[in-house]
Parts: sequence; structure tokens; C-alpha cells
Amino acid sequence: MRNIYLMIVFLFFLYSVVAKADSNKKELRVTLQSSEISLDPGGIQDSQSLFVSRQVDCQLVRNQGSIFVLDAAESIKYLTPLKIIIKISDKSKFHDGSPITSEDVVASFNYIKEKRNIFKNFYIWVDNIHVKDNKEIVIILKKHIPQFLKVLSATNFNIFKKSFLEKAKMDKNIWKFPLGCGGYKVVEFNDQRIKLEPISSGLPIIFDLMKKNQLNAVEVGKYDIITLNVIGDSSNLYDFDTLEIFDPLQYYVGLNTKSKLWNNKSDRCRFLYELDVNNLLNSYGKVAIPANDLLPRGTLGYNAKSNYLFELGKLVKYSAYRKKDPSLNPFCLSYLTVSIQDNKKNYFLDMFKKNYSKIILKPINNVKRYGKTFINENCDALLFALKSNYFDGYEYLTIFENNDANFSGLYEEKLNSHILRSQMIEDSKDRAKEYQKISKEIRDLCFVRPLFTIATRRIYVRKTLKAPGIGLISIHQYYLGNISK
Amino acid sequence: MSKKSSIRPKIDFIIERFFIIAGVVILASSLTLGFYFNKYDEKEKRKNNLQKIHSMLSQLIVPSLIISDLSEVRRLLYMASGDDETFLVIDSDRIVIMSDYGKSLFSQFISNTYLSIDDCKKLAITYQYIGDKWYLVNCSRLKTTDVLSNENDIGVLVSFSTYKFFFFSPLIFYFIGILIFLFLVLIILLRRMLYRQLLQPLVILKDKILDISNSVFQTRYIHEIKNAPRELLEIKNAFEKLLLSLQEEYQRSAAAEKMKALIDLAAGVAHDIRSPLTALDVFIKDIKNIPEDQRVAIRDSVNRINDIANNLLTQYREKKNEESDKSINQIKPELIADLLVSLVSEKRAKYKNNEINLSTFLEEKAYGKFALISSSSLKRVLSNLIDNAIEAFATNIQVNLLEKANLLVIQIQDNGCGISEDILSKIVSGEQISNKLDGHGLGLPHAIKAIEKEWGGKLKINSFINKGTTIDVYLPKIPPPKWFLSELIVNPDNTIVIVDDDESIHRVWKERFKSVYAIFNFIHHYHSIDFLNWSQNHSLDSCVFLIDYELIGSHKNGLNLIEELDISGQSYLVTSRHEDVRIREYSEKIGLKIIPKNFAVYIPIFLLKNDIEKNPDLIFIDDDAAMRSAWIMRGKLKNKIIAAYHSANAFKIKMNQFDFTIPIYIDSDLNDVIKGEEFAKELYEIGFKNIYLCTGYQADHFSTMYWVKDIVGKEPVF
Repeated sequence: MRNIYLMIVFLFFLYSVVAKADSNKKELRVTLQSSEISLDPGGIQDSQSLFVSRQVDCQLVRNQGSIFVLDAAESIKYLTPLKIIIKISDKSKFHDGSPITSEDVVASFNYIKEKRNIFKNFYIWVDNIHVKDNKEIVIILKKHIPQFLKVLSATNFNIFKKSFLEKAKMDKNIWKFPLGCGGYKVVEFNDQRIKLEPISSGLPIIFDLMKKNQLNAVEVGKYDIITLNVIGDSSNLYDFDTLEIFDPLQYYVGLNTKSKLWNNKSDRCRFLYELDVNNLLNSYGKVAIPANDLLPRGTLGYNAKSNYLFELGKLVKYSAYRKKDPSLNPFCLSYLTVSIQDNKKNYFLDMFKKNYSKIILKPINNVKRYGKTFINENCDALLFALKSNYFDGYEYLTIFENNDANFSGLYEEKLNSHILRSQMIEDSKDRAKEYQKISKEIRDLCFVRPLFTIATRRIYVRKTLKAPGIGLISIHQYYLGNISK
Repeated sequence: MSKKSSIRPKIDFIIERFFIIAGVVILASSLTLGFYFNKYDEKEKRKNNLQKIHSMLSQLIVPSLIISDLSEVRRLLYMASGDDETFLVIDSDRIVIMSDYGKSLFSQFISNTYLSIDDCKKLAITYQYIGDKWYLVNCSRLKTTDVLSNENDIGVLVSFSTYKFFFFSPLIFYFIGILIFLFLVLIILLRRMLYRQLLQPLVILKDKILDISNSVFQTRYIHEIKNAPRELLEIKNAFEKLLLSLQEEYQRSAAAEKMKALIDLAAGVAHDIRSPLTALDVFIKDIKNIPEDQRVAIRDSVNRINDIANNLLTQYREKKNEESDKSINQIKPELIADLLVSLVSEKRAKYKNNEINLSTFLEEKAYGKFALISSSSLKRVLSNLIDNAIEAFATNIQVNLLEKANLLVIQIQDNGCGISEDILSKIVSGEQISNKLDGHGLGLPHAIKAIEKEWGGKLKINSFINKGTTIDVYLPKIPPPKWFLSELIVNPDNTIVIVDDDESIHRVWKERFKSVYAIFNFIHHYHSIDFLNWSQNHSLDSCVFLIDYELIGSHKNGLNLIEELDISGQSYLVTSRHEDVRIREYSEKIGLKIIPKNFAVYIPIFLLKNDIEKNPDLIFIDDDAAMRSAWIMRGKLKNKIIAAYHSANAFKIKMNQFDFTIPIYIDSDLNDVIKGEEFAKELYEIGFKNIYLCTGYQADHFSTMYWVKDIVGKEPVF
């Protein structure tokens, strides 16, 4: 009898150990769209890169949906409307265990300022950033900017160790394993997957990069969070909760004004106006809404009454259209792989095939300099999709500034300054009006046409997961360390 | 625990249980009613509040929604939403804007339900089952305030509030809390108050009563109870009063018990003494060879002992009368001789140091006579008369009892200073003549009033100055009561059976009977068992039984023996307890006569001559000895010879010597195995033809009896 008891106790102990070992092996598997993931904040980052960066990097403050949450900062105080003192938390440390210092923060801001040529608004607001002491920095603004914290909290201002940044200037490859201060560190980085290990708590994460930007339903069982469209039998998603998060993604077609095809504005207007997106829209179903404005729905500055195409049509009316011989000039079409799913590619191509039977496809995997890449390759048109971090029209307009994202080949100083000026407007209503004016200016230049908007992003979360607050923000802003199984 | 509960004061528990139940019922009723009304009130309030929130939130959201400032819209929604309430906006493109898309139930519900702006009306203030819960859903339209705008509706604001079956305002919880708190406080206070004011005093009272019960009235005050309700203090006072009464009663009772024991002892002694005294009385009369002065001294000594015994018995009787709560002033037949003997004994005891010669003379024929008087009143009257004589310097007082015709005369003669005629006339007329303050000497007018008016008697005074006074108290004589035997009639061939534990009584009776007829056959028994054994082996028919009531050392008394042997018709109970009403009543019931023991010396004994039975004028058969005596005595007066028999069997033994023509009078109720009329029939059939039935009933009470010549009364027929 005693032996039986001992056996039961032993079996129980064995089960506990095995179960614990098994639970240690538990990982969080998350899908990522096909993209060239870059954890370097100095360039343009797509949402996939931002999603990974969110886990690896820390910021002073974060926007958690509707509220601000301190991250690396212990406090942020407005001494005056123009002077902000930010104290860095003693608990905030880099992955190597060293504490975050003011020097590191300032170095990170400076690095982003040097390297990134979009989102210039932050730097035109700031007059000076300097170190007060080891843990405090002082930001002096040029004028009172109500949305300053909103921008600072967006996933664009990550903090890195100063020494790391200096090394990164010499060796870009180290960005694959950045020395950040987030809850995770990268332990594996290749074309198929990125594996993150928690620094202190949380489940290990494996991001699986899906080449086709879609997932077959039979494969859903492998993953815990699916951010892609699932094709096939939806009954396989029985074990998942479906979240429809408002995260507008607007598709555009942009034209290279330096292309021989489009050196005439009238041609561009007519081409854009005549593009038939009906089949493409139908292929997306109800989730796709025809775009009526340069800015997507839900973005500050969006004008619900705007009719972009109609206005574009007005421009066509007064312009002479010179149709090029398509047989002589094959049409070069670039697209951002992160934006176009494989199964939709043909629908996009079909739009152009009406006019150009010979189309050369040039996919762009690296979004970091996608505008420059597109221009440099002298392609005619670019298919891309944009989304916002803090639902501000500037996030869309910034690509029309003189930077690496500007695909138009057209540099309008007036437009550039207009966009920058808009960031100095305090009142959001006035700023929205200004955005609408800028949109109109851009529309009148006839080099970009918004095609449609997918207002919500559907993500699938395994039911067994406890993911507090996952619906509060866009998925790429969500910290996966909160999840437990 | 059970021990604790078992000793818990019951009243406390009952009152506490009553208050708890009452409190809980009231609380539950109030709460139920409160909840019932509160529910509707709160529902309405909630709806109104929800509409107000919608109105306010709409005003905040619309400006941001117009400029598509979704961050601000979501911030507002986030601020408005909570755990139980979720707000969301659906814009004109049916895009759902909410602060937390994790609440996908609501976004899915709204995607399925909301198709157009008109659906908002259908959703407004409705209860919807979403997921697995009920929600209060409200929908309000978001309109621009831009008058120039053609399209005013820019979306709708929808809210989902968790449905609660009970809608409580926070106030109701405060109310419940306060109510419960007050209830508990009241219960605790009430319990304390009850314990201090009621239970504690009650428990003290109980403990004290128990203590007092155990300690036999050591104390009667309960000092421990000071602060108690008035009723309880009254109970305490009443209990203390009761305790005082009990203590007094206890002490009285204890004293009375002691006294009773003493008196009983004394009475026993007196009884015991009186029997040998009676014998002494008898023997002294016959002493001839002792000098006169010595004989007088012996008689005085005997009288002195008699006085002591009489006084003891007098006290005993008074005590008995007190105990039996019977008024001694009640007028009833009294044996006057007994009363006089007792009174004189008392007086002798009282004046034993005064050199007063107080003597009695009881005429033999007056000894067993009764008068209808109040014994206490007569004693008081006679006592006063004797006291008056002593106060009149009498040294010789003679108290006599005489019989004159149908009157008894109590005569008090003294050699005092006498009463002058004028004073005597005043006394007779009832005037106040005494100057004494102590009440003595006031007796004459009062005595006259009592004797003449109450008892139908008369008082006569003959007085001579310096010679003395004679007062005669005349009292009407009445027949003796049924229980009393005035005279004893015996046949010479009767065997006299004496059952008495006192040897002296045996001697008395032997002397008395020998004085009548020297050759009587005597049987002496001193114990009931001996007597019963003897009775089993001997014929009892020709026996006359003189049986003492109290037989020391025997389990059975005289009455038991008489009844057991069924010899009441030929037995006499000889006892000093003739005053005992129970003995008298019982004797009357069984037809038994009593001879007071001190009367044994005086009772007349008559002997029937042998020739009476040889040639009588008539035969009388009756179990009642008195009746037999009455018939014999009447016969003497009328010169008739009566042969009397106490039973059928007694006559049967002798019947052969009688002629069949002799008249035979038979009592109907012979108290025998055979009825009188049946025995008559038997005699008739033998040959006796002149048979009469004596009965107290009317003739028509009986059926026709051919063997009976006539039915007559019980009185002698001649």
C-alpha cells in the first residue's frame, strides 16, 4: 500500500515537472506579412517592423489607445507650455542590464533626427533637447503643441544605447539584434522568422514571416495570433476570437512624374481618373470601401464630403490626353510587397492592363527608402498602402515631403512648406482644414490616387490566450509580453 | 456548546428569538418592498441617466468626428466606458469606432443589427441578449450642428449597459447597512437591557429562593436586587413578605408542633392516669378499715391527681377544638358531669394556694345526663360564679350536680359573706354593680342572660349575709345522644368480656359487676390478638363486650375489633376519647354505644332476673342496646316484664321456653345476617303468631306480610 502511495506521489511529481517543462516550451507564434523587417528607426518602418520593434524597444511614453502610459520615463512634466522635463525611470534598463541614461535618450532622438527624413514634425516643434542630468532631459518647444505627447508616444521614437547607435552607424547589420530596452530581445532573425526571448517575463515570441501575405486556413493551428487574411475553410478558426480593430489601411496608386509616361499632368490626371477599381474592390468584398479622400477615414483631416475622383475628373476635363503606345513602352509597375497580398495581385494588375498590356512588375520589399527606390528604378506606377499610428493626416502627408518616401519625383517647395506649416497649428480643427487644403493641392498635382480603404484590421487571437487590452490599440502597437496562456 | 445552550436563560432566548424573527421579518419585508420600488425607480433613473450621458457624449464626440479625429473620439469613448458600460460610435460608413476592440461581442452585434440610421430608433432603450448576458442598449444619432450641411447625421452613438435584475442605488446599500447596524445594535442593547434589568434580577431571585429553601429561612431580604423594573421589585417585596409570613408560620408551626407533642404526651399521661384513678375512686369507697382522716387525705390526693389529669385533658380538648376550627361556643348536647369535673379541677389548680376547699358532688343518677348548652359559655358562667364566691371570702365551695325531674341542677354553695337583697335584686335586674376593672364578678347578669335566654334554663340565688350563697343553675335535661350509654343492662348468664390494656379498668369493671351479681363470668383480654384468637374458639352470643378504644401495643383499636367480629349489638366502647367526634360518629353509624371511661365508676348496671325470660309479658328483639334499655325501663315503670334480645340468634337459643302466644316485637333492621321481617316469618312458621314489626318506616313501605300481626313504631308500645 505504501509503495502505491509513493508511486502516486512520484507520478504526480513527474507530471508536474513535465508539465512545467512543457509550459516552458510554450511560445507565442505570431504571423507577419511578407516584408523586409527593419528594426532601425532611422528609416521608414512598415507596420510589421513596428510590431517587432514594439516588443524589443522602449520609448519614453506610449499611447495605449486613448491614454498615455509612461514607459521608460518615470515622469513627464510641463514646467511651462514650452518646457518639458522628462525623468527616466531607474528601473528602465537595456537588454545588457545597463540603465538608460539621459545621454542614451538624447542620442536616440538625434539618431532618428539624422536618419529619418519623414515625420519631421517632431523636430520642427522642438527647439532644443538637452541633458539635465543622468536621468533627466529637458525639451524646449518652439511653441505650444497640444499633440506633442501624442507624436512622442507613437511608435517612432525608440530608445537605444548611445554606444549601440554609434556602432550601428558603422555596421547596419547589428540592427537585426538591437540593444533596446523593451521586454524582449531578438535571438533569431532570418527571412522566415524572428524569434524573441523575454527579458524578465512573458512568453517567447516567434514571428513567422508569410511570403504570400495570407494564410491558408489549414495552417491556423500553428499560430496564436494571426494578422493576415485567412483563406479557405473558416471553420478552422473556431478556436480563435476574431477582433475587428479599427486600423484604416488606404491603398494608393502613385505615379512617377519623372517617368516619360507622366511628364504631362493631364496624362496623369486622365490615367488616374480612368483607372477602374471595381473588380479590385469586389475582390476584397465588403471590407474595402472606395476611397473618397486622400486621407483615409478616421484620420484627422479626412473629409467625408470629399470626392477625390470627381475632382480628379474635373481636372481631366480640361487636359488633353496623349495616350502612349503601350506596345512600345512596357508599363513598369512597382508595388510594396508588404501591402499587396499574393491573391490580390492580379486584380491590381488588371487595373493597368486595360491600358497597358505589357506590364513589368517590380516588387519593393524594403520600405525604408521605397520612394527613392521607385524613382531610381524609373518605374511608372507604384502600388502601396499606408496606415497611421496616431490617426493624424500628417502621417499620410509626410510622404509628399522631400524624403525617401516621396515616390512622385516631384518636389514642390510650396507643398513641402505647407505640410510642415500645418504641424504648427495648435487647434486640431484648423489643422484638419489645413490637411484638407494640402490634400487638394496634392490631388491637383495628379500623381496619386487613393483607391480604397480597409477600415478595420481583422486579427485572430487564440481563445486560450489571455491578452488584456489587445483591442485598445492597433496590433502593431500592442505589447505581446502582456499575453499569457 | 450544548452545555452552554442548555444553561442559557430560556426567557432570554425566547425574547431574543422573538426580536430576531420580528426584526428579520420587518427587515426582509422592508427590503423586499424597497427593492421592488427601487427597481423601477432605478430603471427609470438609469434610462434617464443613459440618455443624458448619450446627449453629453454626443456633443463632445460630434466635433471630433466631423474632423475625423478618431484619437479624440476613442479617448472620449474610453472615458465614457467602464466595466459595466461600453460606448461605441458607428460612423456614416458603418465603421465601428470603439475604445477597446477587445469587446468584439458588441462590434459583432452592432455589425449584424445596425444597417442604417433608422435602426438606431429600434435599438434605443432596449434590452438585448448579447453573448450570454442581457444588456440595456441605447442608440442616439450623432448630428452636426453645421446648418449649412445637407447631411446632418454623421453616425450614431451606441451604448451597452450590463443589465441587472436588481437596480440598486448606492443609497439603498447605505440604507440596508444602517438598518442592519441599527438592528444589531438594538438587539445587543435589548439583550443587555433584558439581561441587566430582567434576567439578572430573576436569576438572583431564583438563586436566592433556592438558597433560602436550602438554608431554612436564615434570611428573608434579597439585597442583591436593586436596579430592576418596578414589577420585579414588587415581586421581590411580595416574595420577602411571603417569606416573612412563612418564617412566622414556620416558627408558629414548630412551636405548635412542640406544644401539640407536649399536649398529646400530657393527654396520654392524663388518659393513662385516669384509668387507675377511676379504679382508686372505686376502691376508696370500699375502704372501711382506714381512719377517717387518712381516708380524706387519700381522697384529696386522688382528687389532686384527678385535677391534674383533668386540667391536662382540658387543655388538650381546647387545643383540639382550635385545631378542628370548631367553635367552642356552639350549642350542643354536653355531658354536664364531665364539664363540672373539669371546671372544678381547673379552679382547684388556680386556687391551690388559697386554702379554699372546693369540692364536687355528682348525684349518681345525674351523672350521665346531658343538656343543650355551649360548654365554653357554661364553664365561663360557672367559673365566674365560683370566682365570685371566692371573692366573697368563701373558704368552702361545694359544686353539686343533681337531677330534679327533667332538669339538671348545678348547685354552687359557698360560705362567703352573702349578697344583700337590694344588690341581689339589681343583679337579677341586670344592673352594673361591680367596681372591679379586671372583668371578674361581672358574671351574674351575663350568666342569667345565657342560662335563661340561650339554653332555656334558670338561675336561682339564695343568699344570706355572712352565711353564704347558694346558686342553682337549672338546665333542661335532654335525652343522651345515640352514642352514649346511660345504663348497662346485663343478664346473669352473660359472659362479661373486658378488652383493655389497663389492668385497673379490668378491676373496676369486675368490682362494678360483682356489686350487682357476684357470679358473673369474666373474660379478660389485654391485647387485640389475644382477643381475636379467643373469639375464634368461643361462642360470642351470650357475651357482653366492654372494649377499650385505644389498645396499647395492638395494631387494631376497639372499633376495628367490634366491626371485624360484628358484635356491635352486644358491645360497648369504653374510652376516654368520647369527645372525639369521629369516634362518636363512627359508633353511631355501626350502632355502638360509648361508655366514657371515667363514667365506668358511675354508670348504673342493671341485672335482668332469670325469671324474666321464664315468664315475660313480651319479647323485644333489637340490636340497639339503648332501645332495648328503653323498652326494659319503660316496662319497669309500667310493671311489664320485657325479655330483650340483641339478635335473632340470641332469641333462637331461648325461644323454646316461650309460649307461641307471647307477643314478639322485632326490629326491622336487626343489623344482622337476617332482616327483622324475614326472622319474623321464620318464627311465624315455627308457630309464634303474635309477631310485630318495629320500624321507623311507615307501614306502606312494606309489602303485605301475613306473618306479621302489625307494624308499629320503635317506641315502647305500652
